[in-house]
Amino acid sequence: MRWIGAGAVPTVVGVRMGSRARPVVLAGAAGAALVAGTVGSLAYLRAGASPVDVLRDVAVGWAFAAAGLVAWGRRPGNGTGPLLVAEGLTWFLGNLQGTSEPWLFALGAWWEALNLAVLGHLVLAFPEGRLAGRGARRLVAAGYALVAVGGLLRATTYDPAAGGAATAHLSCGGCGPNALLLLPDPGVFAAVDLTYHAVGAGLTVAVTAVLVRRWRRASPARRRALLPAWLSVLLAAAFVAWDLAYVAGPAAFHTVRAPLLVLSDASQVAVPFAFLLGVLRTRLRRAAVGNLVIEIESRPTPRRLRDALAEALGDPSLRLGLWSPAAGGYLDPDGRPLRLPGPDQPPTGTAQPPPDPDGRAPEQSPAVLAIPAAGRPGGARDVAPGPPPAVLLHDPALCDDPELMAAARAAARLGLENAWLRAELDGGAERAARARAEAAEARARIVRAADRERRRIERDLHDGAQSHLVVALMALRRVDSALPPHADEALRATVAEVDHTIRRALAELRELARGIYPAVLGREGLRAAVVALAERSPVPVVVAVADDRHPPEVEAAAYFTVCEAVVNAAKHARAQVVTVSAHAERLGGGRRLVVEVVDDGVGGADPRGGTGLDGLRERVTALGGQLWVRSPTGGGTRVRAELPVEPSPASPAEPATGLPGGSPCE
Amino acid sequence: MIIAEDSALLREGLATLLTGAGFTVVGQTGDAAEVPRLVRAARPRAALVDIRMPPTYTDEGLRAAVRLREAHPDVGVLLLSQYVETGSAVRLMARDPRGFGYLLKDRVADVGQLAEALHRVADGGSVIDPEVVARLLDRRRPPGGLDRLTAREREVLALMAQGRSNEAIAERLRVGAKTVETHVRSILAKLGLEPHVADHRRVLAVLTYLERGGSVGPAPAAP
Repeated sequence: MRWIGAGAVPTVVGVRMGSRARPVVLAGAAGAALVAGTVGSLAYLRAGASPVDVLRDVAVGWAFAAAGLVAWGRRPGNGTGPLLVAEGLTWFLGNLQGTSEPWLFALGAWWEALNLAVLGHLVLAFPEGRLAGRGARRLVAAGYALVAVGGLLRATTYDPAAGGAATAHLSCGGCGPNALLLLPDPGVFAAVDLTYHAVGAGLTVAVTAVLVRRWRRASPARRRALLPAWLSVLLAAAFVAWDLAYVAGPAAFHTVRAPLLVLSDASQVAVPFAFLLGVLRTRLRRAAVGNLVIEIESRPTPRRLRDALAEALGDPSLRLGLWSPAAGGYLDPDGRPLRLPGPDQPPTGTAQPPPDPDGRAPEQSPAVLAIPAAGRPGGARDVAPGPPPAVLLHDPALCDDPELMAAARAAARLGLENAWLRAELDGGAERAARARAEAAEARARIVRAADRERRRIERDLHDGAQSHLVVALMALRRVDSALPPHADEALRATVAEVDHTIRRALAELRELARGIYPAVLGREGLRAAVVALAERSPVPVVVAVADDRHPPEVEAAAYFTVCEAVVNAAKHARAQVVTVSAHAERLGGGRRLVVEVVDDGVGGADPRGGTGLDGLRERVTALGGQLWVRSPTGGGTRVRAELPVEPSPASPAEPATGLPGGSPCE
Repeated sequence: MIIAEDSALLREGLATLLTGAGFTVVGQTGDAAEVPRLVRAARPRAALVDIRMPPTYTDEGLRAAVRLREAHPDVGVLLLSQYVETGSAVRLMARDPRGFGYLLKDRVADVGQLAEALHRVADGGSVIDPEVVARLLDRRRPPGGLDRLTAREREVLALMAQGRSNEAIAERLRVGAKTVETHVRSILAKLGLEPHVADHRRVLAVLTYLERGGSVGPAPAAP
C-alpha cells in the first residue's frame, strides 16, 4: 500500500493477484495424496475392513485431496485449497494402525485425529482460507495441540493387543505392536482416552459456537459464501450423530443401518466439493460482472452502476462513492456524503477487510476498493496524484476473491468512464445546442429586422406617398370647385380623370402597403389581420383564430403563411372554401403557435416550387418553427406552420437554407 | 376644431380645406400625446385624428381618441384610417358611438363628405365609413338574417350602419321619412334586433350584428 497525504485520501495500487500455485507443488501434493490413500487403504484392508469400507474411506480422503488440488490451482491465494489437501492427506493417518509395523502403527495411533483438527482449521478459515481473529486462531492451535500432546499421551497407553471397547473403531487382531506403548494399562488408557475425547468434543463445541456466532453476524453476501460448506458440515455432522446413536443402540437402528452408512459416506464425500464450490463461487460471479459491463453500457449512470454492481457481487450493502473536489470527499450517486470507514481504513487498490484484532464482527465495517482513473494511452491519469475518482464500499466477504474484485473494479471503472464520457458528450451536445440556438437567434434577428424594414417601408408609404396623393387630391378638389360653372367640359373631364387616377393610385398604394406589412397586424394582432384578409378574399374564408398576441415576428410569419395559402387557394386551387385556424398550444416542451390553412381545392400544389411558400418556409424555420404542405391531387391543400412563441428548452431550429425573404403577399 | 395628423403636408392641407369650408381650426399637432392638452386649451367641438401617429405608428391616434372621449365626452372625434379595418372600427363604436366617427383617409379630399362627418360627430352623431359598412355587409355568413332583407332594406341597413339618422336616410334615398321608418322596423325585426329609438344605439346594434353575426367574424375557441 502506498499513501499520499495523511488524511483519508487513498492512493491506487494494483490488486494482489496472489502467487501462482506452482505445478510442481500441486503435482507433489497429488502424489502424496495417492501414496497416502494407497498406503492407508492397504493398511485398512489388512486391519480386516471390507473392500466396500475401504472404497468409502479412500473416496472421502481423495475427494478432499482432489477438491483441494482444484481449489489450490484455481485460487492459489486462498488457503482453503491447501487445507483441503491437508485434510485429504491426514484422512489416512489413522489407517496406519492397521499395519504391523510398530512405528507406522504408533504414528497412526498418535495422529489419528489430526484430520479433525485440520477440518476445524478448514471450517474456521473458510472461505478466505485464512484465520480471522485471535479466538479462531487459538481454537485451531488448541486443536493441533490436543492432537499432538493428547494423541501422544493416548498413544503411549494404547495397547492394540489388549483389545476391548477402546479399539472398537479398528477391531484389528493382528495390528501393532505399538512402538510408543509405554504404559500398557487398560485402566490408564481408558481414562486418557476419555479425557482426550472429552477435550476434543469441547473444542468441537467451541468451533461450532464460533461458526454460529459468525453466521449470525454475517452479511447476506457472506452468508451466501458460507452456505454450501455449512450445509455439508451440518449434513455430515447429522449423519455422524446417527452413527454414534447406532453404536449406542445397535438394535434400534439395525434396520436403517445400511442406507444410513451409504448416506453418511456420500455426504462426507460431498463435503470437500461443497468447500470447493464455496471457494470457486466468486469465479462464477466474475461472469456476472462481465454481463454487468454490457448491461450498464446502454445507459450508464453512477446509480445504475451501483445497483448493477451490488446485484452482480451479491452485496446489497455495496456503496459507490464519487470524489467531489467541492465537497472534499466522496459522495454517493444521490449526492450524499459517503463516510469512509475511519481514517485508519482508507481505500487501497487491494481490497482488504478491516483489521479484526479480536475476531469480533469482521463483517460490520465495509471494505474499501478504490476505482482508479481510466488508463489513457500513456497512462497519464494513472500516475496523477490525488484521490481516486471513485471508491466502492463493499462487504469484506468479497475480499477473499481478489480476482472478482479486480473484475468488479474494471467494470466499475469502465462504467464510470462511460458515464463521464456520456456526461462530456452531453456537455458537447449542450454546446452544440447552444450554438444552434445562437444561429437560430441570429436568423430570427434577421427576420425581425426584415419585419422592421417592412413596417418602415409601409409607414413611409403611409406618411409620404399617400399623404402627398391625398393633398394632391384635396388641391384638385379645390381646382374643381374653383372652376367656373360654365368651364370647358374638356377641362372638367381632365380634372375628373386626374381625380380618378389619384384615387386609383391611393387604392393601389394602400394594397401595396398592406402587402408589405398589414398595419392591423401590428396594432390588433393575427386574428384581426386574418379577418381583414378574409374580408378581402374572393374565396369564402372561415376564420378560427384565437385572439391572442404573440411576438411580432411570429405574428408576421403566421400572417404571411395564411396570406400566401389563402391567395394560392383562390388563385390556383379553385377552392370553394378556405379554413384558417391558429392557436397556441404546448408542443414538445414549449408553447407553439399552430397555424393551419385548409382548402377544398384541386390540390396537387408543389410544396417546393412555384408558390411563395418556399420563402415562408425559410421565414418559419428561421424562427425555429416548421412548415408542412400536404397537397394530394384532388384532395385539397393543407398548410400547417408551427412557430415557437416562447423559448423551448430544446429548440430544434432546423437550419434555414437562406436568408428569410417572405413573399410579397397581397 | 383641432387636427392631429403627423404628416405636416396633409395637416396644413386639411387646415386650409376645413377653414375654407367654414370651420375654425383652433389647434394643430403632429403628436398624439399633445391632443389632450390642445383640447383643454382650445375647447374645440370636434377633433380630427389620424389613427397612426408617432412614435410607433400603430394606434397612438386611436388611444388618444379614447382618452379624449373619457376626458371630454362632449368633443366629437373623427378618426382617419389609412385602411378599411372593420374590427377596430366596430370596437370603437361599441365603446360609445355618440360623437364618434371613423373615416377612410381618402375621404378627406371630398370636403363635403368630411365637413358633414365632422358636423355629425360634433353634434353627438356617429359616422362609419361606407366602405367599412360595405365590407361588413359583404362578409360571408351563414344563411338567414341578411338574406331575408330586400335590396331596399339592405340599402337602408347600410346607411343605418354608417350612423345616419332616419331623416338623412330619407333624404339620401329620396323617400319619405315614414317609408324609412317602416324599412327600419322591418330590418330590425328580421335581424331580431330591438327597435332602438336613439340613432347611436341603433348604430351599435346594427354594427354588432354585422360584426358578430357572420361566419367570418367570431373567434371560436381554439380547436
